[in-house]
Amino acid sequence: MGTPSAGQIHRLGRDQLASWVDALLGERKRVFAPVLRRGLRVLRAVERAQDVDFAPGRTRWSPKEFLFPRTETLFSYENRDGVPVLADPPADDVPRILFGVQPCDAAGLVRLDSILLQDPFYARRRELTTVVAIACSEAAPECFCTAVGGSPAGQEGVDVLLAPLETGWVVRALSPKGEALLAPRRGGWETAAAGDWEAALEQAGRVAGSIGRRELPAAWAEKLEQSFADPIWDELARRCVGCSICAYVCPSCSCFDVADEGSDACGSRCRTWDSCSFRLFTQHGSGHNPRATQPARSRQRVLHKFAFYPLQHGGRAMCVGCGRCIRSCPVGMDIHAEVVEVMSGRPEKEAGDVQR
Amino acid sequence: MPRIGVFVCHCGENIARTVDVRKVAEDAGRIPGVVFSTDYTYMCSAPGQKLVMDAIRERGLTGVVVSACSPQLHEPTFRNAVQQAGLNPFLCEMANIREQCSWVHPNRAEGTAKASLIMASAVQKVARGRALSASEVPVTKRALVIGGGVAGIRTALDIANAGHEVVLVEKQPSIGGNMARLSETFPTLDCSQCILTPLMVEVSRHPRIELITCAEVEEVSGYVGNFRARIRRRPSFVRADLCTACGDCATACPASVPNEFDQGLAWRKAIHIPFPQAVPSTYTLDAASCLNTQLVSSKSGYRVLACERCADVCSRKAIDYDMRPEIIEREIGAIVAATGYRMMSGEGLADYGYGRYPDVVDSLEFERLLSASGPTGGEVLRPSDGKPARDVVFVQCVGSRDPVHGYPYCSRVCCMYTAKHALLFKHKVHDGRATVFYIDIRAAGKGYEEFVQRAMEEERVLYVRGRVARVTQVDGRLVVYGADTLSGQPLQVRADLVVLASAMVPAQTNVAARLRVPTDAFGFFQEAHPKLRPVETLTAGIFITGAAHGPKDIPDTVAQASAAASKALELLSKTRLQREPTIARVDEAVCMACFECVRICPYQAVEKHEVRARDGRLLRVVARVNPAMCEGCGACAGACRSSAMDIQGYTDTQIFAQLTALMTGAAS
Amino acid sequence: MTEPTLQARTETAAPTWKPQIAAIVCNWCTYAGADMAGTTRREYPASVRLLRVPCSGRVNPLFILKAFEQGADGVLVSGCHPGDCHYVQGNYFARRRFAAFRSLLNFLGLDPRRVHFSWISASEGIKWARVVGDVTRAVTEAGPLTDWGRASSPAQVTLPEPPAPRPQPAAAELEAVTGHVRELAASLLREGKVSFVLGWAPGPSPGQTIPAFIQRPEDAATLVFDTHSHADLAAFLAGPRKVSGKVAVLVKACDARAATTLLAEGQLVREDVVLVGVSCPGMWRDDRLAYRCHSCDGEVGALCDFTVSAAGVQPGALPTGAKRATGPDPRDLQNAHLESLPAAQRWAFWQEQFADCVRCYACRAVCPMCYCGSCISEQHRPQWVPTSIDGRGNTAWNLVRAYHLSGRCVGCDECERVCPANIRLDLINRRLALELEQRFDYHAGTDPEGAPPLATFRPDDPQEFIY
Repeated sequence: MGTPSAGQIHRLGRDQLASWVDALLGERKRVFAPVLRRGLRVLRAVERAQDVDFAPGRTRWSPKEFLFPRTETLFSYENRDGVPVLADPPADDVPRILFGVQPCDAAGLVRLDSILLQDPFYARRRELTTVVAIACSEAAPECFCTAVGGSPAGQEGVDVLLAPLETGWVVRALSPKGEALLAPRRGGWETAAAGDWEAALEQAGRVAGSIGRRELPAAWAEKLEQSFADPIWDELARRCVGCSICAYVCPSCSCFDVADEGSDACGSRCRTWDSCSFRLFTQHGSGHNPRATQPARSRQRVLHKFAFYPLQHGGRAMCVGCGRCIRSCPVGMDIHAEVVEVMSGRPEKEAGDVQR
Repeated sequence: MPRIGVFVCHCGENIARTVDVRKVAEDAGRIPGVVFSTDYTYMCSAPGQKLVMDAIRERGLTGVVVSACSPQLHEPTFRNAVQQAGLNPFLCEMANIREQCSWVHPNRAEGTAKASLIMASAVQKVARGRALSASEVPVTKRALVIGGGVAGIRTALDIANAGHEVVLVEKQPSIGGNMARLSETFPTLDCSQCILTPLMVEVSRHPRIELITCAEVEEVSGYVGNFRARIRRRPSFVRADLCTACGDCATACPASVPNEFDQGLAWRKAIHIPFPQAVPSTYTLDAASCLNTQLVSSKSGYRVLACERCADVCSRKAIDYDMRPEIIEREIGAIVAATGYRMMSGEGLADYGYGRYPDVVDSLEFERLLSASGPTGGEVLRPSDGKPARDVVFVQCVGSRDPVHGYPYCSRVCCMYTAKHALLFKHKVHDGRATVFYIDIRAAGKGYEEFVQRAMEEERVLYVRGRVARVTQVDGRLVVYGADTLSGQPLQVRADLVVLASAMVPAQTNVAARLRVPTDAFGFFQEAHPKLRPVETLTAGIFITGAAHGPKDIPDTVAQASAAASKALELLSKTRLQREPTIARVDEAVCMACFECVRICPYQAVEKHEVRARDGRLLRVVARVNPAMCEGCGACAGACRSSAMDIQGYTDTQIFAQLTALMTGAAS
Repeated sequence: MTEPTLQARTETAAPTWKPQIAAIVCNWCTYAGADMAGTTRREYPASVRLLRVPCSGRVNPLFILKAFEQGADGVLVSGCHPGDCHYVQGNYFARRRFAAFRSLLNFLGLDPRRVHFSWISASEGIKWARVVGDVTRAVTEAGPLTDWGRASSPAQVTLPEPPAPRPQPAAAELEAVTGHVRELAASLLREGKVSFVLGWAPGPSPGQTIPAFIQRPEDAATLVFDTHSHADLAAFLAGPRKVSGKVAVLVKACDARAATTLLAEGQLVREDVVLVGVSCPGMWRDDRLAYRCHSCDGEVGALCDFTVSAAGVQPGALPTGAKRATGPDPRDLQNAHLESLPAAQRWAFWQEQFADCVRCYACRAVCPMCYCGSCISEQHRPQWVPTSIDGRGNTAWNLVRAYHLSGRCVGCDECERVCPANIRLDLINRRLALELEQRFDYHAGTDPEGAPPLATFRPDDPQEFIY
């Protein structure tokens, strides 16, 4: 074992991972990690490693809510003897770690960055956040990260990647933030054996191979955009019931609404998640709604992710293939299948291009 | 941004004693949207009102809050004032800091804090208020008077004499009511029928009164100025246009039943006239007692008649066995309910032996015994054996002032008529003995006290202060067990006849429900305000009079009848009526057509409305409110799940803001 | 006066703490009664603040929710005595609504000392003063309301497990039903009797069955009926999800009740729909029988045009003979357990559930009874439900929806199934349905012509909860 150094890969036993979490908590860092409660696997701020469910795999919701909360106060106001007084929300500068998220979720944060980094609240939290992802050891039936350029051991947006081995884990820092997080630990950690990392990647490759869904090439964006008026959208989305599960479980959906809550005397301006699937999302004050039907709203979600956004952002889809929206949709709407289906109907399609 | 003025009233010391009115005005000044606030000794005074009006003009107020007394009192005053100053009256709100604050919270700090909250709530309501304007509806210039007793007769005559049509509906075959049954009236002792019958005749001859007897109001729909009454008339089986009231039919009729006009103390025939002076002066065949049992139930045209003696003897051929119930519908502008009273009956009288001993009678029965036109020709004879009664015991407060056996209220007339009864009895039986059990003597009225004194002193009627426990029969004579509370001695009095001054109870309890106006716990009609609106009900256009409203004597009844007539005339003298604009409204874009509002509305004011495209295509069906029918109760809005329904002047937005203000002093 | 709302709720009761009580009173009786108390100088606690409305019938029970949200520690609603209503019937409707809403609040664990109802007439100034005194005392005992929208301590509730489910039906039986469904669907489309058949088809996830809209006879072969055909397709018959044109819709017993209620509420034109009842062996969730199915006999009711069972297709709503023996409803067992707990613990339980709500409105989206084109939660003037996805907003939303389903929910439990936060909406809806059944003898989804229980009344409705 040589001197621990930056870039080095470590190997951790099962208990070491838990001790690490406890150590981070001891340093007064806030750790968000998967826990099981009420039959849900969700990310929560944990108080002890014991509560963490370290198994790889999807949580019900993506980690975006820790950077882009469901609801947050932008400022509060108060009428003090007739004079309005504004106040910023209390600053929260505690460093935080998203621990044990999936690589696709980390990639989702990069998508969010492209929209929300310009917002000081988001930016500040992003700066304080280090992402520790766990490579996937199996793919769920709805997973399709590989179809949108990701991987079960994807590195995009990941500061530290953990990958499961037969016994224990390999740990590797992938960014300066990750280096900084690992630096204080390196002394106590075993260096990974040669081939550990490769074994982990190989495992991830097997997982990728088990994903049965075909690639959605970036090149489809333009053709998809042309499908805007295709009646196929009406057919595809006929069963869409117009809830917002898809948007709210999505690691990359970033839409919000801003509303004032309170009274003449006091209150706050709040930013709250919103979804393009809601009728009210595009309802004009006049009563006119440019997306008047549910299929039109459903189409928006698909085209934004696979056509409008990629065309403006260098071809990357606004989707990381986590499969949550497919898994949780009350009526089994399948965004991957929709894209494939629409493309199968485009004239320029290549034969054999559209099997799942 | 609204510009609201807040005017805090001291009400002399009434508010200022326990509420720091200056502080309330200062608090008002800090509420966003309040541009002017002040306090003043008497806001309702002319200078006070001027303060409000000047502020509206000078400061361009868009809303006014008067923190003073209950809106029940001065809301109209200030709404008038703001209207004079050019502001919509519905942009003026009262903050009730007197009845609901200063008068009930003696702690100055608490009272002031609460007064500020009440004021703030009103500010928020006004800030979200809208200018409302009343809609106008025409008035049908015809009154419906329900009940043909002296109250209904007087009301009908007053309205008709003033030039408007009246429909007078009476359940019995004749008008006259209970007053026609009375012998003499206190304190003047003039004959009841003698003073009543001229009025009855006037009714029958009046060109503007349509008299419908044997009839009941079955349903009233519509609203003030525009009611529609559905009247069901029972068949009398005698054609009024042919009957000459000769009485041959009654002579021939073989079926006898107790005569209800004589309180069952005498007999009448199935075909009868209630009493000789009845109006209309027409015989009536009572289907219930006629031998032809199928008169009502069988279908016309096929009937086996068991008896046709009345028809046989009628030279005018006035008997019509085929007469059917008739439905009469009338458009009505104003309604006066004068349904009167009856004597209490039932369990509450059991201790007094009523119903068990025939010689225990109630006061109305005794009136018939005293009456010269009654079953005994005015002689006081015992119902049991027809022998003259010498010892008569009168029991007052039977069921009245007695919540255990009857009613907590005082029936008001019993003290006087008991004195009259005793006095008349003594006039007829000079050596008779009259004993009155009483609790208190209530003889407040012109000449009343003197009348009671006359009974006591001149006629030597024995007044015993005390309640009667029970009445039994010993050796064939009635014994009244009571107590003399002045001497503290129990008392037993033997009697030939016991007269119970039973409680007066409402004669009709279903009429109020049909008119959809409230009654009190005993079934008497509830007036809109006990002092200021004594003959109005809370439903516009429906008035009340007489004993249907509460026990009262003839002078009061007649006075109230004229009062009700004048309120009805006030309404009928208008050509158009303004309707309160605080009514329901539908946001048709939000309505989801579940039509629970249509089911719920007690006024049938919500209708299904078809929304059509320009080409006539049906787009959807939504609820729509008919402003002429809506009373603004809000039962629809309370039920509307999509909150499409709202009540103007009490909108959800206003209520939310008020709740917020009441809880936090501010508004949402 | 200008104390900020957000800080208005103090954590602990100061010794001088006095409750804030909102009293919503009718103009004609109780307001006048309170005036009478003033005129006769009857002192009473200053904690009660009055809001005047025309009639107790004007009171949307959600006003009570709003009052709590705005900082009330207690609420009193008061109107005219039965029979005295100025508007004749308003208080009768109010009485039914309050009964339902109060039962909801009780079930959710709000301290019952916080919500009060009374009838006080214009002459009952004395009664007004007494009721205000009683209410103030009760609310004072209950203390400041500090846990509206949050659990003050962990609920730690474990709901009892349901009884062992019966075995799953034989695959052959379901295949037979599937075959008959396909045949019927194809023939209805072929004969042009309908333009769509609404049925179920396999979904993207394993073991998932989802709604399918079949337009061409040849596509009928994609239809299936299995133990995961959960979706209540009646949801596509009304409101914003309504499928236009004449449709045939497959309904299980629960879905048929939903269709019946839609008919009763005038949302469905009977002639526009061909109801195809499917003899249902019960739906399975993972490895357990869906809770609602334990007590359901599977019969589709009298409304159907066709009934499909393993034996074939029958015209009309003839019994399929598949009528099952039923057992106790696990939801009732779990509710009984919840109701055996102290109110505070129940409150914590539900607040923990609501805390996870993300306001995706999937519950609303799949509910056949949620057919409003513009949901009350979408309205901002006034705002019935705070938009914020937090305890306050979530409590409001879940309360509003539960109340709006009272007397209407047919217990298809779709809201609970699709909830991504696993909120036990089924328990709330079930509890309210039972309340209305017991109080008003009303069974939602059984009578296509019956008046909804909150849109009617009886003068002698029970009112044991009213002063």
